[in-house]
Amino acid sequence: MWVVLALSACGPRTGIPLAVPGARTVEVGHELQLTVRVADPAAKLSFDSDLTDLTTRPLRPTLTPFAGGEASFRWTPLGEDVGDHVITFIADLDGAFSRGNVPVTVVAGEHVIVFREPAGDGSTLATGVDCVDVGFLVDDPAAVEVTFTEGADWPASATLASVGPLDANVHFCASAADRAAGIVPLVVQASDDSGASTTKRYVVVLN
Amino acid sequence: MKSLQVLLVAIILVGCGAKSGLPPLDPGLGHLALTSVGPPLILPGSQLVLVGQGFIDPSLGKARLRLQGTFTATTSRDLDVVVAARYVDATHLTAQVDSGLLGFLGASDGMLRGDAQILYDSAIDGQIHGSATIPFSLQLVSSLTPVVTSVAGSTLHLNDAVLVSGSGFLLGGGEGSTRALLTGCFLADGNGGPCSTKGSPITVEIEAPPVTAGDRTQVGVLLAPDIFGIHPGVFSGSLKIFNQLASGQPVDGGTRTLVTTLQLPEVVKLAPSAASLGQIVIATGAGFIGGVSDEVTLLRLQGTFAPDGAPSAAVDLTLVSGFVDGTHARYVLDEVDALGRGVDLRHVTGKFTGTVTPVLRKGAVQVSGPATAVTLQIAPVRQVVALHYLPSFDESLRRFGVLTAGAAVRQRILTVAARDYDGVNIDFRADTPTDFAVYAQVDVVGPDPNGLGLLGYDNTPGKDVGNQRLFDRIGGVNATTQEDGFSGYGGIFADQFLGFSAHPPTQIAALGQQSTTFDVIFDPIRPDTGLPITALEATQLTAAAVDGAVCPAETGNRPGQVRCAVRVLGNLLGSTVTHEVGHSLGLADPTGMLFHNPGDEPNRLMDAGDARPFEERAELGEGPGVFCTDDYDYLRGILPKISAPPSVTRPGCD
Repeated sequence: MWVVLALSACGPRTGIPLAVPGARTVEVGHELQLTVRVADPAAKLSFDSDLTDLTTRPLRPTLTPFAGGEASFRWTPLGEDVGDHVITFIADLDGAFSRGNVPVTVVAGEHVIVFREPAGDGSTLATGVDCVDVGFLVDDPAAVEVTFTEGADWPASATLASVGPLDANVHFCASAADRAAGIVPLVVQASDDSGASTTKRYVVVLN
Repeated sequence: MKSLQVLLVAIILVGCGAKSGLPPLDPGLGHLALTSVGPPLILPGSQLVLVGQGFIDPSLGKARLRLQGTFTATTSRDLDVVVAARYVDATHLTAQVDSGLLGFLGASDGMLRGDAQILYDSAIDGQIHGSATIPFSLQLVSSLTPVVTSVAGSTLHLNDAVLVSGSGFLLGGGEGSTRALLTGCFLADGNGGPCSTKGSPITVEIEAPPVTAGDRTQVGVLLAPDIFGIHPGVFSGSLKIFNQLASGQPVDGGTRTLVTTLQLPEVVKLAPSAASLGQIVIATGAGFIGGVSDEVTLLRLQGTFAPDGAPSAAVDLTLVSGFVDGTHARYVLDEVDALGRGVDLRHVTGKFTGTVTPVLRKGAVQVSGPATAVTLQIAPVRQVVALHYLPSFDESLRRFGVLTAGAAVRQRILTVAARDYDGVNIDFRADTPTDFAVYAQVDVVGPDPNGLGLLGYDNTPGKDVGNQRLFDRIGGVNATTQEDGFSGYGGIFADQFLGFSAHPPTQIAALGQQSTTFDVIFDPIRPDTGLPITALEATQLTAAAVDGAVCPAETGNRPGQVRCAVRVLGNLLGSTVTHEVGHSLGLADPTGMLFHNPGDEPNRLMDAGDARPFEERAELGEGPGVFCTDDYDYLRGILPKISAPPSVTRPGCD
């Protein structure tokens, strides 16, 4: 979505139309590319930011002019940039200024919780064996701790307990009802404070 | 807190005037083309499939389909209409025959002919870009009658499909779907008869989707376990085919007699015949189930297991598989199931010889198929490592001037990594593995997101002595590592190698050690100091030419300079991959607390960064770096390989 701005600055002259894109979200280490357009190609284009070192750090953004008043802004944020920022683009035509703000949210990375264990889809509970323990382990790149919860159709004969910040154990002892059902799904959900969550379905098959 | 700071610094990048020579902004649509519009027969609600190339992500532009020509219903009139198109991938878009288009046409039956074109509203330059036009022809009908010419399905397994051939079938989605009504009786094997007293009456209506997407000449009626149950037997009855239009109106296609014998499940083979912890074994056969929560296909292994170096033992294991489809089941070698509890998959290898029997379970109901003779080798634990190249890596290649030779650089990285770990059971891949459920990943990117100018960083938590984690990810962020006070962003940071230059690009910080040799090699290639490798030059870069490159090449020997630059960059990146993967495997000093080999000895891969000069990394008169003796013995211990270690002189680790 483009936002076209025509703002007047200090002087009496009206600023020239400057079009900037809407808010963006970018991951650390990934390049953000924005295109801005100024109505008069003769205008000088520049940018500001609340990040005070943005123009002096080694890996600083570039603003490359193209024909027709367009310019391409390219920036690869670093880990220290995580958070909400504003990139302000400025068009200057003989002292008449237009400004356009682009809110940019820098996030640490792709936020996907992944179950690492168990790797398989299920296990069998042999005849004569009543109980089994199944360990669950997740990776969460953006959190040091997750909350494990029981998923859908959780069997009354199973208990879920966290044993570490990223791992849990399910202790299951088959009941008569479980043996009648034959297949007992254990659906474990892992979620973190950011709201990210994922589930793992593991079945215990009773002989 | 930086967002609260108010000091704004403006930089002026565009001066007044002299702009007439500026190039236009590239919207990335230079290869836009449309090659086909289909299917040729459409109904209200149909989905048009647009095939072409150069389609771009919706964030970069909005796609539309323009149809110009004539629409002939009772009369013929001009047609010029634009409809929204949805991005699928770089070669496919879809568009809907929706009420807007139908309203424009003013009729639901007729023929559209003319020229079709893809239009893109670019978010990059704000302009509209169009593909070349191609001729198209679409017949629009308001209703479609299915015509059945044959029904095939006299002997089937569960989750096989009765194949119905003919014409006029619906494709599903907005236009409606072709459906089947099965009516009759199912008599399970062993129940005697007749079906009217011993069998189960069947009346089931199910969708019959196209066997091949977009094909109106064949649909399949999938025999899921919910229809007959899981016991083998015989269905006798009829099959009625009808089209259920989007309007809800059914259109009858006639009824056929159907007698289907449902067979026991069977396993034809297990593949691969040797597998290790975390690897996927695919059972191929027929009659597998597991599509819903109360179903599972078990694989019962009965026979003997002969561990290497130990006596054989009888085996009777039942393994739980994951459902792929009726003919494929997926089993992952796991430490916590019946196999993993019986065999230490990290330390025991051997061979199972016996039979595999498919066992279907639907709730408490169980049906077994025939046993099939198989062998399955339990292979030594293997670490698979997928190299994942992010888009910023291409930007880095551009800075080096080797973007066109990216494939050759990647190949050299793989060659170096495989060489460094020769004799260790580790497998570097250029693509995401599909044969392993558990594998590690290394991100190869452009800049160091930590802002520290690192060449590479293993951001996996702690020191994984013994390589308990086969699933490490060196890349992205790791909050657990950050909590320990370390940099959180991992990967191989290609940009930073430009810091070896005495005059790095403006965006790259110089490293502590500069190399004139680096500049001799890369100055002729870098875009800011020389001429980047051309596409033609890149086509001449065979792996053998790169591996055998003489470095540095003499001045004026352009082909030699190109080969040398690719080889050296591959060496730099490849040896950094092996170093960081070494960390994730528990190196260095696996029995101690150190992360690097102590001191500074020549050609040791796990020495600290400042003890690994450019010439050693680049293999120019020094190197290649190798694992020192104790580190290598440790690697052979945790990732054993049957083959003998290579004949390499290794330095000591102390």
